[in-house]
Amino acid sequence: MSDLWVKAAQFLGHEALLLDERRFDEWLDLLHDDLCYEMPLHMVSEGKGARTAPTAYLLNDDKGMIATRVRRLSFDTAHAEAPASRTVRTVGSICVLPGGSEGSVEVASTIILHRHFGIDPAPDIIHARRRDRLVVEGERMLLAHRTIAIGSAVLNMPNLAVFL
Amino acid sequence: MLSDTVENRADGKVEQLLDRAERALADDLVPVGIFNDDALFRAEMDRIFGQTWVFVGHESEIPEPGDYVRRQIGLDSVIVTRGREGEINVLSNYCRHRGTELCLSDQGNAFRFRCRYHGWTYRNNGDWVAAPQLREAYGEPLDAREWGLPRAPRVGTHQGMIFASLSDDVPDLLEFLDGSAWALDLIMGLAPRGMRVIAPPDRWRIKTDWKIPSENFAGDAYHLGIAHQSIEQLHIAHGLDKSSHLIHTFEFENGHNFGGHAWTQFVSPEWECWRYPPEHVARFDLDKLSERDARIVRDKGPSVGTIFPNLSYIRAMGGTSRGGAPAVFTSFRQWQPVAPGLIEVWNWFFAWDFETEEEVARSHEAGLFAAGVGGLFDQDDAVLWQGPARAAESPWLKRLDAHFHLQQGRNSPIDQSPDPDWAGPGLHRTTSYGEHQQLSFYRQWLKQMQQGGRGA
Repeated sequence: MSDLWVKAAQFLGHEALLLDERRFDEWLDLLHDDLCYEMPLHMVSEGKGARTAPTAYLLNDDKGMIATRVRRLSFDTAHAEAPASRTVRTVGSICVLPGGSEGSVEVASTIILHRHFGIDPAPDIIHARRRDRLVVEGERMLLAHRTIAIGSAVLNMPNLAVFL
Repeated sequence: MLSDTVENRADGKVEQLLDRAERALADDLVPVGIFNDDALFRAEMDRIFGQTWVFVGHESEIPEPGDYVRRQIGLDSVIVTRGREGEINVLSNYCRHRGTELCLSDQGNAFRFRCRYHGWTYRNNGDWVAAPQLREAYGEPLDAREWGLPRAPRVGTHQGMIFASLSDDVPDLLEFLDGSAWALDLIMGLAPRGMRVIAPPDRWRIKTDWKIPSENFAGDAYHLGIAHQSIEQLHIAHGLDKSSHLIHTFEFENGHNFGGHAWTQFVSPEWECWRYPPEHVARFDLDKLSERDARIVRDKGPSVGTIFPNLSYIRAMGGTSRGGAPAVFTSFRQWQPVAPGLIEVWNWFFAWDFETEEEVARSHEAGLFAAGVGGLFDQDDAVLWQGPARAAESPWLKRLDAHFHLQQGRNSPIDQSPDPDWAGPGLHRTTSYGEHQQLSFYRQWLKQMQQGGRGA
């Protein structure tokens, strides 16, 4: 169990490093070809606290769509990230969950993304919870599924042009 | 007699700014200061959002009796409810006793709302109905209406789109919508059960003034080739820099403006009906339209626009890479004012009621990739729109009495005169050059601001 935790934590820390350093091609290599990368929409329904609407998403990407986003980020015409934001990702509360199978592990983690774009007077900060399925392929781990829940009802950033 | 109160001084400043705006607009300019001014913002919240029809949702979001959603009209938190007889009410969300909010959820179903503070209870039409220990506390029930939740005096729908006015002194909804009602008919009314909302709106904040995105969707074809050039580089969109030729416009009364992509003229006769595939178009009932309207739907159906004050729309074909064909998505979005220089975007995706689950999913997917919080188009607009609010605070630009330029087309060889043969509503131009739609938006803004200041 703890060996898995170490591997998962190493994976997530490495991923954060690659993204902060904008080594997007190397990050794409960490993504499984059948990746599902989703951010369901959370609303508050009476008496139930936060609840996910069954068909509602803020993001619902596969690997191809992510690759398109990455390619766009290489253009200096992608104004949302031109110039590139400075980002610092803090990943924490890492927890290996029961329910993994042979060759895959379910991991929960939190992320604080601190992002300072262009000449904005102040940075944006976003908190989110993530649930990942990491699959083990030989010596490597790949991200096969990520479900992201941002910590507020309203995104406090002008866009989600960065990866959580 | 005017006393020299803070309020009067602030109002004086507002009227001065509006006078400057009036002079500027006569010359196709707007003062930079109107995009980030505390007193002006407060005046807008009253004179525009408190005295105009404002979008609050779609009927498909509150289909059953008791259903409600929590929405905004300007800064006001309101509850939009469905009554037992199907009637829709728009209620103030603040208890009449001490102001605690009644509804904290985004949506739900309830026929009564009970305040968490002292227990005052209201029906979902706003009527005061009960309080704890009624006899000991109040002797007898309070008057249902006098102490009920304020109820928007006017609520109306068109194509299921629900609008409300906090002032009774407004024209009927259809009169206010003018030609945008026709546009909504062509956008949403092509099948018997029309369209429905796919999901609750996603929301994100942009540091800009609500008028900036509203005017953009009203008529800014010109920005597409530059602001969204990266989408062209991805080969997802094509010919964006031809948009001012491609998007033909419809300018209506009361500040409403739409545009339609003239695909069949510029690209291919097969690109009709917003490029919906033939099996989709086959489910439209175009026969019930006039010949003129059927032609508009086929050749240049409204694909982008703004209904004054702050409801915009886009319909486009979007790509995804889930191994499937691109799909057409329909988005309505509302630029909610939050504070001077700050808005919250509420974005709804719509589907046709006749679409299969698979078709809805594909349309939603296409929409999410192009529009919305992670959408490739919205992403770039958001950062570009942040400049105006900062410019409006610039001491230097204030000193210069700076203005923004809406004089495009004055020296242009492009004929921007309205089509003399157009027999449909409003003015129809076969070009987007000239920023006429943006000017139409600002003129309505000015008119409402000046009228509202004089009182009802």
